[in-house]
Amino acid sequence: MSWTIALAGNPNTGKTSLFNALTGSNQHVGNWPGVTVERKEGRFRSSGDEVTVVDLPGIYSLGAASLDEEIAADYLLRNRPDLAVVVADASNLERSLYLAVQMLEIGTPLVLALNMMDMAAERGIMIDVERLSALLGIPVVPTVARKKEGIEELKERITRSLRENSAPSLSFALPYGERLNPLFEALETFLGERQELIPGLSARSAAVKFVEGDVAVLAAAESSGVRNSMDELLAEKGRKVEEELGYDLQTAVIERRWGFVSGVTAESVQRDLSLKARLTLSDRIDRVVTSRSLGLPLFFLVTWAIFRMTYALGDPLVELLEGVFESFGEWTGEFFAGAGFSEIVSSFVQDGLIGGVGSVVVFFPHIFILFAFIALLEDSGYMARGAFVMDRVMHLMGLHGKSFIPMLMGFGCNVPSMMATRILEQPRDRMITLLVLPFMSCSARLPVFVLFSGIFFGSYAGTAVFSLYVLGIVVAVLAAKVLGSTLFKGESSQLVMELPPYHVPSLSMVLRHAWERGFLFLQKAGTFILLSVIAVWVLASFPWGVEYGSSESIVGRIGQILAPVFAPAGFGFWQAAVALFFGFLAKEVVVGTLGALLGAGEAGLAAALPGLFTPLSAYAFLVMTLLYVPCVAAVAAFRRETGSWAWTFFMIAYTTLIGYGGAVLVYQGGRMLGLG
Amino acid sequence: MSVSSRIEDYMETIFAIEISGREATVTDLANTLGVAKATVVAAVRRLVAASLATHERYGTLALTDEGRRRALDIYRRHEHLTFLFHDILGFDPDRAMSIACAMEHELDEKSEGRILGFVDYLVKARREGRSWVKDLLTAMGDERRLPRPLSMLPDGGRGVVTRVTAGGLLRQRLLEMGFVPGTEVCHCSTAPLGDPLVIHVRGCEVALRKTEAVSVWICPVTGEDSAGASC
Repeated sequence: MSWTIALAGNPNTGKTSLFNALTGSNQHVGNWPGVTVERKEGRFRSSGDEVTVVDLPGIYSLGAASLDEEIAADYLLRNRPDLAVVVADASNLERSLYLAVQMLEIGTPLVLALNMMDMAAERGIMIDVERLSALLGIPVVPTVARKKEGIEELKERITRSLRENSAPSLSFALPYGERLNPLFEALETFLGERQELIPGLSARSAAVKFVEGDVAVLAAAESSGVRNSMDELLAEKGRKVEEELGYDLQTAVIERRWGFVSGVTAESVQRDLSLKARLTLSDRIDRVVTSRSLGLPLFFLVTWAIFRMTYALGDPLVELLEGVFESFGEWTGEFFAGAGFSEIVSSFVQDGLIGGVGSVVVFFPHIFILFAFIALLEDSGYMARGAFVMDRVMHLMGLHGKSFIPMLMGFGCNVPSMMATRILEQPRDRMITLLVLPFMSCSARLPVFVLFSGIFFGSYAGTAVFSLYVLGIVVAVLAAKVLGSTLFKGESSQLVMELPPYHVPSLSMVLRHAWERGFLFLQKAGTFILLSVIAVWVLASFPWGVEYGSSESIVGRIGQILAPVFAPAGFGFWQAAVALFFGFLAKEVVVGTLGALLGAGEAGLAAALPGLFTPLSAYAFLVMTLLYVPCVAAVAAFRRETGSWAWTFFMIAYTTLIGYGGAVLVYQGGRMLGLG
Repeated sequence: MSVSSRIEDYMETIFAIEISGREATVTDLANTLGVAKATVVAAVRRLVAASLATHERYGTLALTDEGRRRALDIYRRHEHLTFLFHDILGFDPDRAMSIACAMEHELDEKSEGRILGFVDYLVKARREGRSWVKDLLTAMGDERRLPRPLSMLPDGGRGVVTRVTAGGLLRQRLLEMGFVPGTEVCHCSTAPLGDPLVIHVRGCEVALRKTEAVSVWICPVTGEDSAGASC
């Protein structure tokens, strides 16, 4: 038979390792519908059964207080998997059990995988597996996913449970005590006479979730028109309970659930106190890593090292790939020309197709290397510490501590840095970070800055380049502040983040993660980039017969129309407009395009540019290059990470407006100061 | 007609002198209350105007029936409060007296009745030697137990959660991370820039911003009565 099961668990419980151990290489990575939270699916066979495993996001509860929790709760309730495996950290059983108990309450058949048993044993924690299984009424299997221990037993237990009962288990009822029970019963009776609030959710579970203020259940009650009656019922019966307990009902329900979980833990876990008293290695590392004196310097050192290594290791590979694609393009161009195809075909293949594919593939090395490092940070547990020490600074900008990593990566290339925003869990933090990332001056902008500064600012060239980097940061900070207090006003930014114990990261997992990210980029963003490159080729080559990108081509004509728009910024000639247009492909192309259009080549620009630009208008042009719409690959990554065309167009429009505004401000301001 | 608390103090003092079998004079009042005679004369004039007292020129003061009725209320409240704070809660007499002086004016018949009921019950139970009285009084005498926001716990300090006052999603997140009443937490360390904090709760370390930690209320605990949460 074939079954579908869900894999759930707290973050940092080795859930990914277990997923990999269960499904091997038989995996598919995608997104949850409508959101850009990663969804992994895999398969395994055990004694003739085919089992599909859906990996749920790492969560602490089903409370729908975050996007991840919402997705998990929604999947469990609406898709009703045949069974769910909860991965528990054996060395911190209590927290994992809280989630397991919530899943039992909504009637999900469970198998508990007690993972990291080896770590627990090291810390003097002994778990009575049978006792635990009896207390919860579910099968419990000890595992060590990293060492692939207990995986076969787990598979066997899963398929056995699947065959034994495929109906949702409704037998579990958490003892909420004599104070809360009458309240639940009243609501249960009320709901029992009506249609289920959420299909498959029993009246009892719905009553409990209503009392604890579960967002999804409240919304369901609202839409089925029973919210008011239920609120009245709650007000009538709940007040007295609240008085007796001394706190509100939400606290009461969650407190009782924790109480039950603590009870189960106390009965099934034994601690060797002699081991516990010792400072764990993790604590000792933390004393240094998050200390007042070393915390920040260490974090800067780590991120700087990652930044340097990503580009030091990636750049030669990128050059290699660029070279390969260039010669391959030339070769095929000649081949097509030689084979008697018309020039239009060979140009399309060489500049459009192969050039397009090339411009996608060159991002792969950086993405792969950066994500290998990010996986290393996350898997080892350092990422949370980094966010912890940086949170104060980032919070001033209205962002989360973890936003620092993508922001820093942005100086290298906006594309991987946009993908790196996945480390942020809250949609608000991710969105703001994504929106301000384009202002971080990526390395592709540097050649433009260097060339212009060298020509126009002489010995101040270095200062000019540096000032542009600073300007990018300032604009990003201001934009984050403004966005946070306007478009994202009222959406709270929370930290509440677990600092997991340190782990020795697993190399295979790190590489796998990096490969998945790189591959996803090629797959999803690649299409968009390729199409854009082809579109630009069409605009630059047609009407057929004109010189590529010249004033007679479509793009040249558009440039002539647009040129007056740029006059207030000091560069109102069509070559500048066309160069900026091509800069959309990749910002460094601005230089090459200007060279070609001025008929000077890159080398002759030093002589040709002063004829068009004054130092002031040159600086305005650089400000525009820095701030206006990022390159097509970054836009594609943005679209992929937000999953929204509306936000993508907003980003294109607002960055371009800020860039234009900035350029005009510099030029006009400079003229007023008499610098023109 | 409302009488200011200062005027109530005069009535109370005259009453106290009257019940000791003497007649009050302006000089007596000035000495007892520690104010100038002129001040007393002005106050007495107001008492007379409100028909709460009579005053013979350069002679003795006496409360009217209405004045005596009101003075009794204040006097009795003062006595009850002094008893509560001195005899039961164990404050020294001067301190108990000044707390009583400040509170007596706010008490009304109903609240006084409740306090009296409470004090009576407690005194009776103590007389009968009930063991819970001692526990209760010890608990009340432990000043460290005053609840405060988690953000005010010093590095290495421990406390028991009493409630979470945050609203919305933050509240839910905090409760579900285990910050529920009765849970012992520990403030392990603070980030290099003074925020956020690392809090040990239910077997794991959680980073909280101070603005978040403010909404978790705890009662600090010390080594002896700790259940074992430590960093």
